[in-house]
Amino acid sequence: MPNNYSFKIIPDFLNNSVRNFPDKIGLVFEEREYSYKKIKEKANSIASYIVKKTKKGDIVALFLENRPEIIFSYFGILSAGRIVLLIPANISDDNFLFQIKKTNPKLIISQKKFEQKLKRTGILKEYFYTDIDEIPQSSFFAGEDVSGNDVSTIIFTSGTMAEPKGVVLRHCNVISATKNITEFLKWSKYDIDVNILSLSHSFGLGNIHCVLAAGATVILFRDAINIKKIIQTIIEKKATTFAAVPAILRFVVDNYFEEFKKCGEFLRFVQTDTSLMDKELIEKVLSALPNTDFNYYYGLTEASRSTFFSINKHLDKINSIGKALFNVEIKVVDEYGKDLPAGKAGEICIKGGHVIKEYWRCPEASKNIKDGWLKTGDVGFIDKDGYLYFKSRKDDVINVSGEKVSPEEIEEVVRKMPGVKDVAAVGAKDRLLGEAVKLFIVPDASDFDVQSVVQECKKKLESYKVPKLIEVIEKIPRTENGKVRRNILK
Amino acid sequence: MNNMNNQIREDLQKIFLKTFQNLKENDFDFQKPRIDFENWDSLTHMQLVSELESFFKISFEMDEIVDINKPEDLAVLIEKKKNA
Repeated sequence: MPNNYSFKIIPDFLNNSVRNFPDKIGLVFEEREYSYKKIKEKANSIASYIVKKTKKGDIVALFLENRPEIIFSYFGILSAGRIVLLIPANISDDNFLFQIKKTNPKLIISQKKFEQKLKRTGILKEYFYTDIDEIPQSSFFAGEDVSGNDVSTIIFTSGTMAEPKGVVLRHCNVISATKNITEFLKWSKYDIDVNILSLSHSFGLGNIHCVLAAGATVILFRDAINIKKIIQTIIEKKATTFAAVPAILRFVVDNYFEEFKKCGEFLRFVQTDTSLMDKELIEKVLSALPNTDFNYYYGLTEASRSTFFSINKHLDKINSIGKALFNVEIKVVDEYGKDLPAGKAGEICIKGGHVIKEYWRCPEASKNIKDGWLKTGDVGFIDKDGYLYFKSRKDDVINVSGEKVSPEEIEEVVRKMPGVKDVAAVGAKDRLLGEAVKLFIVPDASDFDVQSVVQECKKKLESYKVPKLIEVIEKIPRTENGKVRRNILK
Repeated sequence: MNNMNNQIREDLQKIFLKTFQNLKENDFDFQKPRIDFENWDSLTHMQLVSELESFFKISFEMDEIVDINKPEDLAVLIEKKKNA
């Protein structure tokens, strides 16, 4: 990490490494290698195209799977001073249409395999679309004046409302988060990172920021399906850093424990997020990799990674979710917003340069950010040593392997089905995913076909939102105001 | 190809169309690579495997699961298990 950490805008991460290590391999994907100079050329080609097609400050939607072009496009769009709308490849048609209509991008960059989706949703008719593989190569890009306070990225996330909220990240938020993470993880130019995370999510994208800023090398995977190959790659390429959600770590230690042990010779650290992770999984990872730091963080798209800690160094705090990073303030407040002392549970609030200022055109949700403090909706407490502990979600959001799922969104889809009188969704403990969606249904008639609910959800929702368990009951417990009493259903 | 294998392939295609809601029958091809399917991600992969295991009453080895790259791979695996 540069001593003065002089980055002002996100493209500086790449520009700095191009200056320092132009010929160094920065990115590897399926046996293809890209030097920092090559990554920059590719990003410039896209920036040059973007400048011709859009104006400064316009939104450009990026709808690509994990592949090098998502990195080239991301840096190209940002270098051109445009805003990136990051759309995950596994998005449902309804959610896709919602995000596009809500943000009205001037250009959508996607790829052939998603053209059917663009046609099906009617987006192709109404919006300007470019196939990433048809953008002409161009070496000329004059540059654009971009400031740290400019909006860089919009990523939608589920919350208390049925509709997803657009998290508005500014360049300065990302710079601050990258600095915090890099300081803790000590990422350097000597590191080789294996990235199997989606780059349309904060966790995966955040790692790309850190790796490129440090001048390290990232080996990118399209997905996490071939875990055997991923482990072999860590060993063959002597990778030093690896990140995975708990569900994948569970899969690894349950099925490839001996192979994973061999990774310990090279891995400096493994990092994962705060999706529910049981003690047995933590112990299994620690026993496979006794000399590797097992770093666990707490964060959300709105506030990147806000805590970190190495579980292997603090086994007495195994139930904690870490300590606030340098430059991050965390407090716990009661229902009136009053600070609570150590040990008392309340809503977790976060402040720092990495925290967003607002949601995209959603004043209601933006009320949760006041005087720089973000109310997370998570309930927890801080112990006398400053360690944060997570207790529950205030708003009943379901955490499916790190993906936030709003119960209201699922209920809205099912409620519209004929034969459904009432419905409620809750998070149920799941060994692999941490939590899975459980649905309670009150049907109109006894011959109601429960499987039709699964089919409808598959049509309308992302696959991780489809209920794994469905129970037919006589009545959904509700408060006097009609609110679902989810604690009874859990 | 015997009748049993024909039936396996027919059933396999049906399960694909059920798992991938937006997949049209004429877009399905046993040789189509996994990466060309619109939404064949890690979660869908596991859902597909689980559906197939329960429908065909078989179980896949972990090494078999991670090496599936196209529907044909699944068809061959299922045929092998059912014909054993």
